[in-house]
Amino acid sequence: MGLEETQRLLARLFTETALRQEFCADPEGVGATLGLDTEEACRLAPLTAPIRDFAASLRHKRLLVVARLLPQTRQLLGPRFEALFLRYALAGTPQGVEKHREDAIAFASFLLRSLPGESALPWWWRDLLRYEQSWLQAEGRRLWTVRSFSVRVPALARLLARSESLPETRAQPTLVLWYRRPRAGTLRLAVFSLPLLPRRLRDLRSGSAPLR
Amino acid sequence: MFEHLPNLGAGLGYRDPLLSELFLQRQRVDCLEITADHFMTASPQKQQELELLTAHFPLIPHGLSLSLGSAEGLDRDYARTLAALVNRLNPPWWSEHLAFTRAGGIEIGHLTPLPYTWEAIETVCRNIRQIRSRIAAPLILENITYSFALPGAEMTEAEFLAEVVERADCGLLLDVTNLYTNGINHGYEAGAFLDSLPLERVVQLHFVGGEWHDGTLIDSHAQATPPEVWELMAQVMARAPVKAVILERDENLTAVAPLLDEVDKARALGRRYGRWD
Repeated sequence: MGLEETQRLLARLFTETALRQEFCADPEGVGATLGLDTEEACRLAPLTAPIRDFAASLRHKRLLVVARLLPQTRQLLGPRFEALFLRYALAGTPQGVEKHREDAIAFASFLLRSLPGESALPWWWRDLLRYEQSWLQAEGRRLWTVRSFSVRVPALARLLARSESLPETRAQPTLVLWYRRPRAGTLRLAVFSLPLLPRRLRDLRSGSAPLR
Repeated sequence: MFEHLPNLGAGLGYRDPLLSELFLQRQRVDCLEITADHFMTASPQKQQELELLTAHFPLIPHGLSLSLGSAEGLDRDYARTLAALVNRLNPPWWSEHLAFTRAGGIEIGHLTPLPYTWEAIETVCRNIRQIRSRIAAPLILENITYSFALPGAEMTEAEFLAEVVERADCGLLLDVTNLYTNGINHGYEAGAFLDSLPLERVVQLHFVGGEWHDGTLIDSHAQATPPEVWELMAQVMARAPVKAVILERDENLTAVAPLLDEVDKARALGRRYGRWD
C-alpha cells in the first residue's frame, strides 16, 4: 500500500466512527475489505488504540472551539453541552477554511432539532441559541442578517454571561439586525423591541399554559 | 544560507483576545506570528484587524492546513488563497508544518505525522515545489508532535526532517516544545535529535508549555513554558542562527502579563547568544 492509499485509509479511520469501530475490532478482516493484504493489516493492527485516541482528541479539539463560539449556550447546557456535542460529532467532520464556524452553526442546528419540548431549560433557550447561531452566520456575511426573537435576547445574553444563575425575563418580541457600514468592517447590531408582554401572554407563546 | 533574513526578535502567536493588550504593551513585542487560516477568507472585521496588525508589527504567516505531506497533492483552492494572503503581507518568511491534514477529500482537522520514508520525502518536496511557484517569500518547515508513529519507517524522525529541509532547501521552524514533548513521549534524547539536524537552517523557534494527561505529555499550548524547554531553547540559541522566537499560547490567555514576561525572557536569551540586539 502506497503513501496515498495509507493516508486515505487513515483519514477515513480518524473521521468515520463506524468504520473505525469495525477496524479496531477486526483489523485483518476489515483491512481485507479496504484493500489491505495480511501483512499490511498486521502492521496497522498495533495502531488501533492510537487511532481511537487520535479520533477522540479530534472530537475534543472541535468541542473546545465550538464551546468558545457558543459561550452562553454552553453555560446554559452545562455538562450536557459536551455530551450532546460528542453525539453530534459522530455524524461527520467539518471541512473547509471556515470549518470551525460552520461546525458551531451546524451544532446549534442539531441542538434546535434534538431538544424539542425541553422542560429542564428556561422557556427562552431556543432564542438564546438562535441568537448565538445568528451571530456566527452574520460574521460570515458581507452585508446584513436579520432575525426575530420572542425576548430581548442581546440583553438576556449579557445578563447570562454576568450571572451564575438563570436570569428572569419576560417575553418581548424583538428584531435583531446585524449589519456592516459601507467601508467599515465591524459587525454592528441594531435591536428593535416591542413593549414587554404580560406574563400570561408569554406563557401562551411558549406553550407552557393551555388555551382555554 | 538564511543570513539575509532579518533578526525579528521575540514575539507572540497572535490570538484575538490579545489585541488590545498588544497595543498597550507594543514595546514588549518585536513581531507577531499570525495563523494564516484565520485570515484567508476573513470577514471585513478580520481584514481590518489584519491591516491594523500589519501597520504596527512585523508579521509572520503560519499555515495550518496546506497539507504539504499529502500524496494526492495540494488543494489548489487552498494553495491559491494562502498564496494571495502571504504575497499580500510580503513577510520575511512564512511557515507550515511537516505533516498531512487532508487525504481522499477528507480534512482531518489535525496535523498528522508522515511515515519516515523516501516516498514521503519525495511527496513533500514535490508539494513544496508547487507552493513555491506561487509564494516568493522563503518557506520554513515546523516539526510536529505526534501521539503515534506510522509503520514502515526507513529512517529516524530527525533524519527525515533533515533530509526534507536539505532536499527542498527550506528553513526550519524548530518547535522546541514539540521536540521536548516527543522526546518524553517516545523516549529519545532531545540533544541527540538536535545533533542530527542541519542547525544552520533554523530560522525561528516556537515555545510554550503543555500538560500531563494519563501519563502522556500533551502539547496543549496552555501552560507556562517549563524549565526543561527553556534549557533546550538555550541549547538551540547557542548553536543555531535563530532570527525569531515565538510564544505559541492558545489557551489561558486572560492574564497577558505572564505571557509578555516569557517573551521578555526569550528576547533576553537571544541577546545572550548574540542573535539580536
